[in-house]
Amino acid sequence: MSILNNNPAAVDASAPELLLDQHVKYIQALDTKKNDLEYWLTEHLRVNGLYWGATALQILGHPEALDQDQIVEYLVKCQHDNGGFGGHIDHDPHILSTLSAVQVLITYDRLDAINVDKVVDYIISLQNEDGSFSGDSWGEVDTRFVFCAVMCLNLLKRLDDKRLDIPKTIEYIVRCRNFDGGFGSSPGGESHAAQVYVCVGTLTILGALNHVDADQLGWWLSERQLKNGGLNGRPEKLEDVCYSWWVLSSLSMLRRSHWIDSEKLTKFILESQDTETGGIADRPGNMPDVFHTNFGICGLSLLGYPGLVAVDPVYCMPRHVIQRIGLTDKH
Amino acid sequence: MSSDEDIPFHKQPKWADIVPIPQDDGPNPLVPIAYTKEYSTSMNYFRAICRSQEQSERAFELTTIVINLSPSHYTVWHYRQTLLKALNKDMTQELEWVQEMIDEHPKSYQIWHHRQVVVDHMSASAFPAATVSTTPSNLHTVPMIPYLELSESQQKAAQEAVQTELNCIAQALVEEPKNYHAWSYRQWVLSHFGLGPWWEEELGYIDELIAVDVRNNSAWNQRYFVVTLGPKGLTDEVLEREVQYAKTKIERTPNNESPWVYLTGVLRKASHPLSEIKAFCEGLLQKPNANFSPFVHSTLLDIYEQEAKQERRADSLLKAKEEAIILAEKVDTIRERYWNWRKNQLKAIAVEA
Repeated sequence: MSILNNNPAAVDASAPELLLDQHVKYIQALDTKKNDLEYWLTEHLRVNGLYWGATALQILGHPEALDQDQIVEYLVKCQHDNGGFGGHIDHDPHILSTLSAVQVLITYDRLDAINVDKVVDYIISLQNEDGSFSGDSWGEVDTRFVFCAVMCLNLLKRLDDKRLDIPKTIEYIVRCRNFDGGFGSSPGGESHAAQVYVCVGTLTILGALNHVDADQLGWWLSERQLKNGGLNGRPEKLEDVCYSWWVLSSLSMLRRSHWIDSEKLTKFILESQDTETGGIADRPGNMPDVFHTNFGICGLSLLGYPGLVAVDPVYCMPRHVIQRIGLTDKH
Repeated sequence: MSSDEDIPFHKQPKWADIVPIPQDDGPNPLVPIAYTKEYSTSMNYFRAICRSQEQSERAFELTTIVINLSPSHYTVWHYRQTLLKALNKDMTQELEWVQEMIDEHPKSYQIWHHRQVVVDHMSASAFPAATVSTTPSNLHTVPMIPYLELSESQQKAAQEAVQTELNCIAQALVEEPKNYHAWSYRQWVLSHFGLGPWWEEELGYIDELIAVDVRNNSAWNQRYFVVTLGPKGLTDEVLEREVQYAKTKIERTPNNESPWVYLTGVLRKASHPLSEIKAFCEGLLQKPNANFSPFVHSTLLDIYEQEAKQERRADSLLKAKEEAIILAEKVDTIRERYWNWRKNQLKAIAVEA
């Protein structure tokens, strides 16, 4: 069985090529940028950064480019007694870094290195009475955290945990649905493509997509494509490579990704590559970073760009990994 | 401030007993953290006091220093929140400091959440226990202060508290009118303090923002929030006013997604048929600045499609098809595949010959 995209899409002849080797080198070099101000300011995102880098390399077909044993060893150190993972050693546990850690460990098939029961306890402890989830014990609530929780539990095959209130979880997500068909971060919050991704992802995993008007939402998502091919996250905002992922994955879960112009989007992502340093920026001409590099590459994979490893639209992990753990039957 | 303002904090006598703890990067070379000297020193001291969970004024001061250097370091914010309560700090002063931080870092998740924590804490001691709303609009299932049951002086205090918050948020929205965190927090403030006069006043504020930028989708979303979830609810009178409001804005900028989605949104919310705006849309087609707008055509497509389905009218079906073709081939070609799908959907509609 091939792990590559089955039906590579046609690519506009005028589009630049994918700088695959340069992107691999860019990601490998990230941890050597010790003099960058950005580097230490993003310390709290170190575990998320590992997930972005490791996933991009998987999709590029170069999983060996990072030392997996060292990464596992590091992640283990980020787990706290309560089961959650911090964004870095000595940082408080948070659901965002917990999901990233679990995603990387599953990609590497190394769940044996951590205490899974405790991760489950931690996630469950963050559910609120109304079905929502807090990001940590300090109480910030956001639909992103619901998705982190549900995805994490499903990846760990613990969605059947009796302590999880699935009907309330669904109810909360539905309360965050807006008049334009999209979803926000909380009930009444403005529709935003990234929040749409997390809400549609949650409903997909919970088998509750019937709560979505797929035609209305599909149209709202399609409206995010601008004339230059790029996608924005909200009306009248600038296009940004990361929305290639949030919008396209959502359309893909709704089975409507063919509603947008994929050739133009492919070209837009490729034009956002940094031809000197490797890596992908938010839009052409800007500085690349690992976040946009990952979501640009995953977007290209979802678009069927030739030679890339297939990505799963729900989990944003290699599809062969999701198949290996037996989770492809639901979508 | 003390006179030792100019001396680096760690050289001041009050820090002499602390043994700073350097970063443990472990053996893993993938994630070494390289710090500037100032940050590195502050972090070493922070790790030391954090590990002993020291609750002191100097610890509080250190959180200020670290947050200034790294405003997204959520662990430091958590620690500060613990200290605020443990040391019984002046919360009004804290809000002033947060305001300064917001001016510097308006897009930090942590700052806005911190402000919410502080305001929540202050209001919990100033007002009776918040209860779950039971308004007809079923505003929220989150607890809110029973504003209508407060004494006159308490109502005044609540209004002042809300005003302080709304001013702070408005200031951030001047810089970035679509700041998602600021808007989320604004909705929390409006709801948290209950059903006070700020709900009606909010419409005036939104008017101002939309007058400045009619394409500010965040402001349109807030309008929907206030109109449909506010204490008054979406009455017939309110609906008519809002439909008029959206129409005026559409006439000025017909190619603007926000008022279109708003207009169809309020109509649907009130269970009114889209056919109520048919004449308005057809009228726009006669205007040179509007007939190229995909939103005019897509709304007409929806209206004609609905008409064909409900009244089995062949002429409506034909018009719907024409709109789909205009959208696919002329005014919205990037979504050609979507419009062609819509055109194909029309085939299933049975009409009378």
